[in-house]
Amino acid sequence: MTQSQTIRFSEETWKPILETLLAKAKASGADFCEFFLEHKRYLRCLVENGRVTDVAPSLTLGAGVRVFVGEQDAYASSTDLSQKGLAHCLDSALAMAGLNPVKNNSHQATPVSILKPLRKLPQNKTNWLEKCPDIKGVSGFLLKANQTLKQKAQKSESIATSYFRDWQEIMVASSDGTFATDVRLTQSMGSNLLCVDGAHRTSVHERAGKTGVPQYFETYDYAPVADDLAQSAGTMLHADFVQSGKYPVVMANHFGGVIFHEACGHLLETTQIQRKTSPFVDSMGKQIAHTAVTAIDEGLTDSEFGTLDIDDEGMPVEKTVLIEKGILKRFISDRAGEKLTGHQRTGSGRRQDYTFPPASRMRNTFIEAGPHSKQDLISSIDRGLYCKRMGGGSVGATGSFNFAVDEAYWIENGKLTKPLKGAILIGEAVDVLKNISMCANDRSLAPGFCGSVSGTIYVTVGQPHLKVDSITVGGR
Amino acid sequence: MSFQPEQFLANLKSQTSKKGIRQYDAYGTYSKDVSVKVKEGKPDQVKANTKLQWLIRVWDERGVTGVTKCGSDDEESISFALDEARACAEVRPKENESAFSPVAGKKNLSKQTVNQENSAIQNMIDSLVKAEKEILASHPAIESVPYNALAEGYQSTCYLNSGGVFLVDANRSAYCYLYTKTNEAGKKPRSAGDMVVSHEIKTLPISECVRVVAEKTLSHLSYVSVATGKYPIVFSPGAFLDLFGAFSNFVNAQSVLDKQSLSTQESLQKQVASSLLNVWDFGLHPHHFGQCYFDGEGSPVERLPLLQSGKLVNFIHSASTAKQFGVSPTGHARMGAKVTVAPHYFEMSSADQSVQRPHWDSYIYVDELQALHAGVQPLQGSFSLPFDGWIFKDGKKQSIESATVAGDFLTLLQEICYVDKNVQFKASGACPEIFVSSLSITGQ
Repeated sequence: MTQSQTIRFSEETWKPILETLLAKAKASGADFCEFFLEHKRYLRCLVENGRVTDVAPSLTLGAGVRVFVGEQDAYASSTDLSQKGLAHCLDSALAMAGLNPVKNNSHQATPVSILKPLRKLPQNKTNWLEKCPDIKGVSGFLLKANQTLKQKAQKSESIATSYFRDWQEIMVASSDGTFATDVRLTQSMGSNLLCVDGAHRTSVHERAGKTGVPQYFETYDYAPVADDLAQSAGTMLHADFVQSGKYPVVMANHFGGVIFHEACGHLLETTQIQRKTSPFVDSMGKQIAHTAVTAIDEGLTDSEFGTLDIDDEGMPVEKTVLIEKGILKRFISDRAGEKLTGHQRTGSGRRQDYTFPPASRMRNTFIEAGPHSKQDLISSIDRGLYCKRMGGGSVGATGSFNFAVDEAYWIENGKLTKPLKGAILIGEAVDVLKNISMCANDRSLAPGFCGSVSGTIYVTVGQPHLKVDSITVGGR
Repeated sequence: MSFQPEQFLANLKSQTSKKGIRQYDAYGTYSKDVSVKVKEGKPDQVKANTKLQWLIRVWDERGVTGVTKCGSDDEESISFALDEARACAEVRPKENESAFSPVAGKKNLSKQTVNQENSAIQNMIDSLVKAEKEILASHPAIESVPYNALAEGYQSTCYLNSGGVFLVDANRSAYCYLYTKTNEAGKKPRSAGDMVVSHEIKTLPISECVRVVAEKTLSHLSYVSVATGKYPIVFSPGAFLDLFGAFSNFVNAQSVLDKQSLSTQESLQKQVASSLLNVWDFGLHPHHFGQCYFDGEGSPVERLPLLQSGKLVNFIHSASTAKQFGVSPTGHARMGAKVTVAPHYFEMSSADQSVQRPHWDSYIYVDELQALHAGVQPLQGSFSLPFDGWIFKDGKKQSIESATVAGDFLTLLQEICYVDKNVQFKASGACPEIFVSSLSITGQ
């Protein structure tokens, strides 16, 4: 097997190999066995200050084998996709699970029929890679975007525009008969602007992205992105540091949804439920948030960053209502989560690549829109903070979270006033959910990267503008 | 699957010859890792990974480079990778393109054979279960050790080029981390953790990790709020290394050239930090367990002074940045279409042993910084970070409920008022406790 072919995982080639290996796993005493094959073509391109400085394609082939024995799970992975390589990988997983791999070919004595008919690749996906822009097309587009940002920005010190394309072909085969293949295509554009004026420095960035759209550049207009970044940098260049304290805040829509992702979404994953590191372990059916909050996790919205046809365990994705009017309805669950916590799978078994076993992970996660306008929220605050542009964040083992605010404005008597920088929002998930008291009618989604137990994956975060009655703001 | 750099080189020579490619180099890594996690006395997850990766770089007729990464070493895969790399070179301008490092292969250490076999899984599970059990037994409030792992791995690395340089190195490393969670009626859940590293599991100080984690967790059971304000601060070695690493663009020549650094070329020989601080980068430090004697371009890795008595004396370099600065490569290159530069292992110490430790009535000890990816603005120099730590007041030590520390990194460096004599060895560097006269703390 070599790396130059495009579509590689055919039923004819792989079904006999995988059925033989799955039969061996069963004969060796495994309760469950799953193979994940991956073929990846990745391209990264960077333009800095009008020059193409980095173009890096990569080609990856790999496989992972997961074996369950009781509640224990063992996982082995390798870049060797030969039949011998996969057999060695399986033997490693079986041995790590405490089983002795059967030595002879007794499991092959009778023909096995373990796998269901293959869930085939939709026809429209077979030529996605060929339809994507080539290296010249990508670099040309980035150069134009870089030039546009340069023309619009004042006091710019450094301008970078970047692109990546992640084309992934997978095949999943497991001992319960699951047999599926899929192709995913994720593309993203990023822009970074650093402005300097004497001792004042500010940097702003923006990322956009889509899945399943080969002609992605036709959907991406860099002019408004450049306008937005130039304006934001110009405003923040001379901003004061925020004064720390406890304030009511209005959080912007779009990437503002990172707060729900970090503060609540992770705590609704069965990986946290099984470890009992979530404060919501025993909260099913209970009021965990303000009645203004309805939250969804799904993988279905057309072309969003967390959209999938099937998850990495071969299960079709679905829409999962997590919280409805403040009441906890579902957890985000994968195969291991279902086995260990009893919560039904939601098509959420995800992983970065073949080196990770899947885990319950978010897809497109957002708070639904409410009845108010953005101005209603701001007008309701005497002294507080408007968090317009969010940075990243994280949640700790005890449910405490924090995330940075890249662009904020002070609210005085219901009106936005001076820009502020250096804010970090700190709180406990259980508290902040109850303090979201107003949701605006302007829900918007944004692409993001989520790092957790099964690596870094593509997700969408989102929300409308929303008001949190009180939250700790770290600053100077 | 095994690592066969000689075979790879033969295949690469064959394919480059067919395609008329005269100049090329490649950087390969091969790794075999195992890890275990446990839960309530039983194995939770065991994992093994074998991975091969080659990064191939070619020069076109204009002298411009293109790269491709691939996971196979057969001729057909190499052929495909070479075509992709040439296509990448086509879209790049001919500016400041790097040749081979002038010092590539100048130091070729003959290493002893490194054992490729990892520890038996059952022994690893038993060790980790024992560690979990000991922590849980240390106090009834410790409910679980939800984040834990014991891992060991072998890694081999190769750099080769069409000029005849062929370097191979190998090493082993192992680590263990343990993070607790407490549950006491009427109190917030608390957490503490630690990580230890070594070359092998048999030399890994797991008992010491258990002791530190239990001690830290117990110290956080009773906690107090601190008032928002300015405090004298002591950074633990781990916390200071994390912060220094997050702003390491200020010693990075590539970042300086890209204007993505807090420094400029003119910063060299300037007093950028307190005169009490010395900093080196030393990839072959005996406590650095991921060491390799050459970098991504084959340049030797050596001990490089960065800050001497607070003065910035060197940047870390690749071949390309070194050429532009008129110095020799320092062994910090990471190969790619754009060769990047990264530190290996910071080594810090006091530049003036005669200075006495300050005696403060009240100060805050920052033990572990959190969310560095979110709370650090590396291009602006500012940070605002949650932390675990204690307040020391009138001789009493009390855990802090929840707080953030904020400031400007370059100002912080200038305000270091004491560097302890006792250097501690962590995964990312060697560092003593660092005392800073004043920083902003946001409490409750």
